[in-house]
Order: sequence, then C-alpha cells, then structure tokens
Amino acid sequence: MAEVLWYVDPDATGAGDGTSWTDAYTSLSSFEAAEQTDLVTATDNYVVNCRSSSGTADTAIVLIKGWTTDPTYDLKIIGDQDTGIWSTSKYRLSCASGYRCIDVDEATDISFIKLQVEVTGGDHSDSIILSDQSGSNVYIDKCIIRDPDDDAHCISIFNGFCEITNCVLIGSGAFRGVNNGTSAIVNIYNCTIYNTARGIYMRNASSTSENCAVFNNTDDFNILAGTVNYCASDDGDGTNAVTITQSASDYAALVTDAANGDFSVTDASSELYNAGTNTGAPSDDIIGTSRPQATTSDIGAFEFIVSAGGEVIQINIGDSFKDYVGMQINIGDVWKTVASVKQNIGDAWKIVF
Amino acid sequence: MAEFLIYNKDHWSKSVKLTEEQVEKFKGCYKNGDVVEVREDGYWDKRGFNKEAFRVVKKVGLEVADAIHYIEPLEKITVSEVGEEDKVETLERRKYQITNVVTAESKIASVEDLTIITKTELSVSSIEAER
Repeated sequence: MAEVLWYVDPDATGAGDGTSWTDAYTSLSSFEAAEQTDLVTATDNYVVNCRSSSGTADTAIVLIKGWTTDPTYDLKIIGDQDTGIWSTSKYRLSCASGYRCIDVDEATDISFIKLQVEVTGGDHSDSIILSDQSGSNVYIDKCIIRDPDDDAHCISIFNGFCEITNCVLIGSGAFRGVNNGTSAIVNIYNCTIYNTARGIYMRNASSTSENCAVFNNTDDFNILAGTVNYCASDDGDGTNAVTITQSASDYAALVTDAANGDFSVTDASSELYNAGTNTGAPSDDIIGTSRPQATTSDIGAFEFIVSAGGEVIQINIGDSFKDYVGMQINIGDVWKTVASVKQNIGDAWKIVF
Repeated sequence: MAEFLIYNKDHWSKSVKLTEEQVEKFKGCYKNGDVVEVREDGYWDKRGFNKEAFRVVKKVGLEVADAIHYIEPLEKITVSEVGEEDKVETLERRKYQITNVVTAESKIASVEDLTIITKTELSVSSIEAER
C-alpha cells in the first residue's frame, strides 16, 4: 500500500504532470482526467494537495467518474484553507459556468478536506453534488462552500453515504445548505449554515444533524425524515435544541462577524459555547482546534478557545447570579473566585473566574 | 481564440478484463478526443500540461464563451414526481469529441477547423453494442 501524493496549483508553470508543486496540475479537473485508475488493485491511496500560490482560482468543473476505490484505497482532495473564513489567497474552486462545481457521479470513496468551493453562475445548481455515488462513502470536512449569486445548493446528496463535518455553508438567501435526497444517508456534525432558503433539507430517516449552528435561513431545518439533535437555530428545531435569541442585526453576540463570513464563536457568552454534545463530535474544528475546549463541544464549525488566564465552567447554581460574583468555588482542590457570571444557557449558568 | 485540452489516451479500464458490472460502470468514461477543458487564448502557453494524457489545440476565431459548451456531459434526465429531484444520469462524461487532434505531443496545434462529433444517446447505445 502506498500513499501517492499529487499536486494542483492554478498558478504553477512547470510540466503540469502533478508530481510536485513546481510541476503541479493547473486544475483539479485535469488531475482527475489524467490520473484515473484502479486504486484497489494498485493498493494505493491518492492524496491530492491543492493550493493557489498566486491566488488564481481553479475554474474548471470537476466530475468524479472513472475510478475504482474502496474504503481502504481511496482518494483525498485536500485544500489549504486554514482560517475558516473564505480567502481569495487560498485554493478555491470557483465555477462560473455549468451547473455544479464538483460532481461525484458514480460510486467513489473520496474525501474533500479544507477546500473552498463556490458556484458563481448557473441556474438551480450545486456547489458540490453527489449525484450517483450509491455504495460508497464521501466525507466533506473543514470546507467552506458558498453560493454568492443565489444560484445553487451548497451540497446535494442523492444516494450513498456522506458525512459532513466542520463545514461552513453560506447562501445568499435562496436554495439549500444541505439538500439530502430520500436515498442518501447524510450525517452532519458541527457545521455552520447561514443565509439560505432551507439550511438543512433532510429526507432520509437514517440521516442525522448534530451540533450544527443553522441560522438566518428562511427555514433553518426542513426535516421530512431524520434526526436533529443538539443544534442551534433561530427556530429552536430538534431535540436538545438551542434557540438562538439574537436577531439578524445582533449576531455579533453569537459569532464574530456573520455578515463577512467569520463564524467563529464570539466569546464564552455565545449561545453556541459549550452547548453541544461530545457524542459524534469531530475531534477538532474547522481550523484544527481540539474539541472540546471546555466540558462539551461548542455548536457549529468553530470551537472557542478561552483566553489565557481565564477558565470557564458550567454549573447550575440557582436563579439569580449577581450574588455569586466574588464567591469561592472549589474545583479539583483549588479554590477559585468568581469574577463574573455570563448568561444563562439551557439552565446552565456560565461563570468566569 | 479558444484553447482545448483534449483527452488523448485510452481510459485505463480498456486495458483490463472487466466484469459486466464494470463495463456498465465505465462505459461513460473519458474517450480519446473528449474535450476536458476550454481555456482562453494563451492559457497553455504559460502552463504545462500532462503530455501523456492530453493534447492542446487552438481554434482560430472562436471565443471561449462560444466554445464552453464542449465540456458538457451527455446526460439523460428523467423527470421525477413532485417534490423529488429529477434523476440525471450521465451517459458520457463529454458530449463532444474532437477527432482531428493529430499533433506532436510537445506542440500546441492551431487549427482552422475542428472535426467535432456530437454524441447522442443513440450513439452511446451503439458503442455499448460494440463492446
């Protein structure tokens, strides 16, 4: 078994055979066309590293079709986004024509990691569509997927199995964040979905959405079948729900800068902080911060790091908090003084020492 | 002037013995002559391309906007019931084949005319029968 590394850089000027950054393919599409093979017989894993060394976008539509893979010998496409915020200096698939940016059109075991993907043209299209991948597994992790022109669903899955983790999906008021067809099992963990018509449209009883922050959508969750658990939304959907109380004009208390695509948790007062469940949560967040930082995972793609010198715990302590400032609490044989009390979230007072 | 990146080899599945299921799976894969990408004039002058897999040809007097449709797949769309997505089946990765790509591997050919085959569902059935 060998891990074979490939390289894609739209700004590369070398031989274009994908064997190094210098000689990188200039599009993911040309890599996919040239290197299709039977990974199972070869007992290989292909790892495709993507960057844009001078900021040029990859504009070629990628159709995944013509491979033989299995869960052991698979294909990984890895971008270089590392902030969780859309960046024009990082690798991005930005397709201005056609009706999809990435299409997995037959059974292919494949992962998309740290990519930025958008469709900027077309009509009723998809940034990523898994149109016919029954019998295989697709993983989408730490990606930013957006629809800046009101033209596309962010991710559509029509059959097979797909797990989506730590992703930020941004719409423009229309279409869907995750569009789950009746024949597809889709598990969505710790994603943030913002400003679509339907944040998560789920139609399979085995599909799950957990620890997701879904807000400022016309309908946050449109669930015909499936499970929503420990998610935060304007609508308070699902079981163990967190209802976001901030209005569209005041999301600053929830995330750092929603309007400009920064969905990191604002601070320990955010309703997303320490409000999810550790069951099923990925071990790290969209920028690699380990989970959980406190007792339980934060909701959404980002895990908040408490600044040095501070420590935050959750404790049920009563109905009034003002009296508890200055109080001593023993934690692990260390007495700590309560410095301030944050807001009440799910009957758990957040206290800062 | 538009530049075409053209698939210029046989798909790997043609060199191995396939099961019936695999024949079905790979029947829509890239064929020699399929248009992989369409780029603006000069794009491939500044960049390399895998010469074992592709050829590049330039078409004089053709704008990218008028040529971008050559990367379309051949699809069969089945309209579904209300509330369900239409079923889109990709019959061929590319609907169009350029067949006059006889050029040395290291050169980018500029041609006055392209010989283009437009695949149809009927022609795909013929290809299947040949297998």
